[in-house]
Amino acid sequence: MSIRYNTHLLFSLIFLSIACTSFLGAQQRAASEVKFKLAQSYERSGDFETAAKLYEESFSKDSANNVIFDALKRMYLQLKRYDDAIRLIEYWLQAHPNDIGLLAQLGSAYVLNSDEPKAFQLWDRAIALAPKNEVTYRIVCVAVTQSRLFDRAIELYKRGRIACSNPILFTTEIANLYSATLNYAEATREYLNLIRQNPSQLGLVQSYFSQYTVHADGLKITTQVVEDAVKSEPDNTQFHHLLAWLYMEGNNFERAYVVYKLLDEKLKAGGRELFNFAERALHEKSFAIAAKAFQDIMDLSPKFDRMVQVKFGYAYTLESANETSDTLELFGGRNPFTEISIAEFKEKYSKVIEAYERVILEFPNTEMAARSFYQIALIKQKKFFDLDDARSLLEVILDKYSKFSTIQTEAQLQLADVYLIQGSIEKSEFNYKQLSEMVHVRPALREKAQFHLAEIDYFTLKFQDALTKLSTLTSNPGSDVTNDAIGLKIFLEENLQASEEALKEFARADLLKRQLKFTEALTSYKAIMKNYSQTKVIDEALINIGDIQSQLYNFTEALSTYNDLITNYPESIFIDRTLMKMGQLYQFGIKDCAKAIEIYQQILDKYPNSIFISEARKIIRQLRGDSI
Amino acid sequence: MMEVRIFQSPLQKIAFKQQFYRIAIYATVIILTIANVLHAQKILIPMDLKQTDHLKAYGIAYWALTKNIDVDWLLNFRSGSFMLDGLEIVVKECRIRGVYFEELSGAQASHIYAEIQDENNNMDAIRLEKAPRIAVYVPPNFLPWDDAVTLAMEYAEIHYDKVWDDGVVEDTLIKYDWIHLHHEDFTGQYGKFYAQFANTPWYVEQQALYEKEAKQLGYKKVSDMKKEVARKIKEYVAAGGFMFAMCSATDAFDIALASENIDICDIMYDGDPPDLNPQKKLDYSKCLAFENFTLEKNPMVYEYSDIDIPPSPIAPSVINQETDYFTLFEFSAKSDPVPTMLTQDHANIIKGFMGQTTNFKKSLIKKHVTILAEKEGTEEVRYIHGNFGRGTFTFYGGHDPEDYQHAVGDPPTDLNLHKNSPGYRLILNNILFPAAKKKQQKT
Repeated sequence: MSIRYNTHLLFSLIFLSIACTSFLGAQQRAASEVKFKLAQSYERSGDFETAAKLYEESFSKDSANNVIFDALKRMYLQLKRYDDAIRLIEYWLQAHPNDIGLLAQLGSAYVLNSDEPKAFQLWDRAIALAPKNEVTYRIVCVAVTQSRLFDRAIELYKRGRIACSNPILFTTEIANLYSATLNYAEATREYLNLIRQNPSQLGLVQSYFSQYTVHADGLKITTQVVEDAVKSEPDNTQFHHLLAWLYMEGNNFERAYVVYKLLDEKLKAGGRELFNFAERALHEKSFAIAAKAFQDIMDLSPKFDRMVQVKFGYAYTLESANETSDTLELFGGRNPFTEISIAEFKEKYSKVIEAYERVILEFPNTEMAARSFYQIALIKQKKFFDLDDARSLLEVILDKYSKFSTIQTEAQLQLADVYLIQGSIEKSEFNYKQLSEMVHVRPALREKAQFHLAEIDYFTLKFQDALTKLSTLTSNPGSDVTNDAIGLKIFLEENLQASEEALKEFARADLLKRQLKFTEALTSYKAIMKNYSQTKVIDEALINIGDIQSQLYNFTEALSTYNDLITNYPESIFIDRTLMKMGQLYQFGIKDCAKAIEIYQQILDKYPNSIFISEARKIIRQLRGDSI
Repeated sequence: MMEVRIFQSPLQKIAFKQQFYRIAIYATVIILTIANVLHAQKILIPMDLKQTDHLKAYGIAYWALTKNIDVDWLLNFRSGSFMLDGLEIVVKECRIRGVYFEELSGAQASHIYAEIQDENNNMDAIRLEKAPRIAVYVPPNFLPWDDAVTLAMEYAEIHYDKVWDDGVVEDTLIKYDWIHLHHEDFTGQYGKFYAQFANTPWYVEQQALYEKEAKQLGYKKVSDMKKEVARKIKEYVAAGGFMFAMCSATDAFDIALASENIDICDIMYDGDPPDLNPQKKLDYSKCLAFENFTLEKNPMVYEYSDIDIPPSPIAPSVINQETDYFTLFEFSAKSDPVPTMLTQDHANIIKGFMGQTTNFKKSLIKKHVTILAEKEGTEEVRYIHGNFGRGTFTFYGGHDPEDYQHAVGDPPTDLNLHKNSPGYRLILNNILFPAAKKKQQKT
């Protein structure tokens, strides 16, 4: 009995003690959980000190809890209690001695505590735990990078690369770190590594490069490194691509050309690489290089599938290289300062014409052939004044290339102009009229045709008809011809009432000028000067005389004529324009910069509201060598 | 044959002498008048609505000073005009730069000076004597179009040098009369652009560049270096320098001074957390212009403190561009020439413009600071000026007076399209102000 009783008592006591223990344990856990949650809410509210105290209490009761450990460590770091943080991590490390992440964190804590040597030791220790595993290096290097020790991070990544026997491992990470530390040369070397392993990454590498090649020094250094790489690995075509791209970024098309030529050969591209380059060079106005590239395709890759574009591109490039820009256009379409004779022009453009003719001959039924006809016609008309040839060529386009409507309408517009100059006014009018009534034609082209029709009315003395047409055109402020239309309209309205006879004479003289009959036009304008000296057209007559003299390279006479206008007609609205022309004659014709400045200065002194004021200011400053 | 006059009596002789002198005087007056008409004695560059290019007009004044030509700044006369000697080179230069001017005779000029000196007119003439030596505090990779002041100086053709942290720390500021603070963050938080731009190349590069600079100069953190720079600039002002700051360089400068011995930067800016309760540890006595401000502690919020009003993150949604104007105060030219100089303008109600720091909260401005412009009826102050030691400081809120909401990467403002910008004029007033001959301030 007593044994049985004792046994019962023993079991009861054991049960009770287990129940009590588990009840107390549950109570303790609940209390710890509440404390932890409370600490979290203090942390969220920014009361880090209280939060830290509560986390400490929680940790003292549950020191194996990873979540509490993390929270307490976070608070120590937040409160800059680095010694406590270090102690805590070290304590935790005792239980987890092979935790690489923890060692990396401990290193970071030492950096914060201004003990970098100790940090380096710990990071080395972490690596030693798994020295051939790339994850080890990633974990450690992230901690090192976060501690802003970029050089050390690069060193460790490189160590990892060797240890893991993988030469491209961590390439992006290392390159980014070099780039962040402004070491563009090493960053470039790393990115080249990426291409070496994966050539399809070229675009990506270009985008990386463009982050620092926007700086002049970045571009220079990167180019040098890629040049070296090309020298040491001449068979890596992606390096060549990269180098050519860098050259073009720096506007060095000559060097880019050399690279593309080599690339085309290496890749057996049959002209494709050179063609893409030539198109870009032409677009960037590097004419000489573009021409060279087009020529190379013709010579080296005669079977290139876009040969018609190549040949046209070549001709067009040669033509563009011969053009000079005259933005002011004070003397009309022709710049009088070129001093090149027609014979010289013919010499200069002979190769251009030859190139266009080759397109026509070799690809006779293409749009490029039609365009070549058109370009030759323009050269013949505007450079050689060979109107018959120009007309014939334009007529060929109208006859034979009807399927290419765009070029056909452009040719028709030009043909109408040629007819007008040649004196076939009816034919000219007919063509302009056709164009002005066409539905499927570009609005700008149609408006041009309409304006020229009004001009023809003026030349043929049908002033009212001209005014009606001009009224329609002037109502469209968005059109390219509006300004010209307004100018002509005002001129007609002003002079029609004042002196119709003078206006008629003037229109006849203007037509002669338009038809490039300069000597006859000069006589007519001079006659107007004599016979209608009291009319309003007189100053315009003088300007036209001066302009024709300029076109005939009689700069001294032109200056004298313009001077007459300024002296005798000081109220003329054209004085500022005339002064500008005089300035240009001194600057470019007679090449007397001091006198040119003096004339431009007169515009500033006397005509502060002139539309030429900004240009005059700019030119004076250029001529006197200002750095503006 | 020469006529010989014989005087009948001494009286006749005296009468003749008197008549002779009278004729001589009349002739002199006539000759002088003709000379005056033919050759202007003075050139007036009006700064009212007749002026064709207000900004280049400041450039002419600066250019004249570099040529040792004295310039009188006529405060409140035709909106702060300039009077120069009637030299041919001045006339030519005005025309070449497109600056409107009027040629005055000596009498006309005297009349203007008399009008200015009249006690009943709130005007004064300040003699500008020496072209100020100007420094702009900018990082090495700076582009001139990202800052309104350098844009204005480039346009007006006013020469300036660039200085950066190393120059400031090494005391090179002593060489300059005037320093402009670019939109720099003296708190070391990289403009608090982290949330939006942390991964962009320019931000990463900027942070690395600043860290490298700090290390080279012996500072553990960028924020430590920037605080030292702020302290050096403050010393420069105390020693008699003129400081002009715009946009975020204003409040960031004072915040850096107030937090000289505190860490207010979060972990993404300096690698460690900020001090606990930095707000309580701020020392406002170190600030030039502001006090009692509250820091914006959230590192992800694009704002430093409550000085800026309305706060940057909400400003675009609460400010109506159509009604956003601020008003310049008028000061007594004879008693308060300095604030008068700084507020010379042809408009006194000026179109607003935003910046990282747009306006300063009035209640946070120290009492001794002069408010030059504010948004009427609000707490928003735009333009302030104060003295510190022997020097002065001027703070101007907003980034670019002609680009309402300038953002990172926006194209530069073309000042050729804003030649008469009243907002830009305020900047240029500051540049010429150090050229003024020092006068005893009456109030």
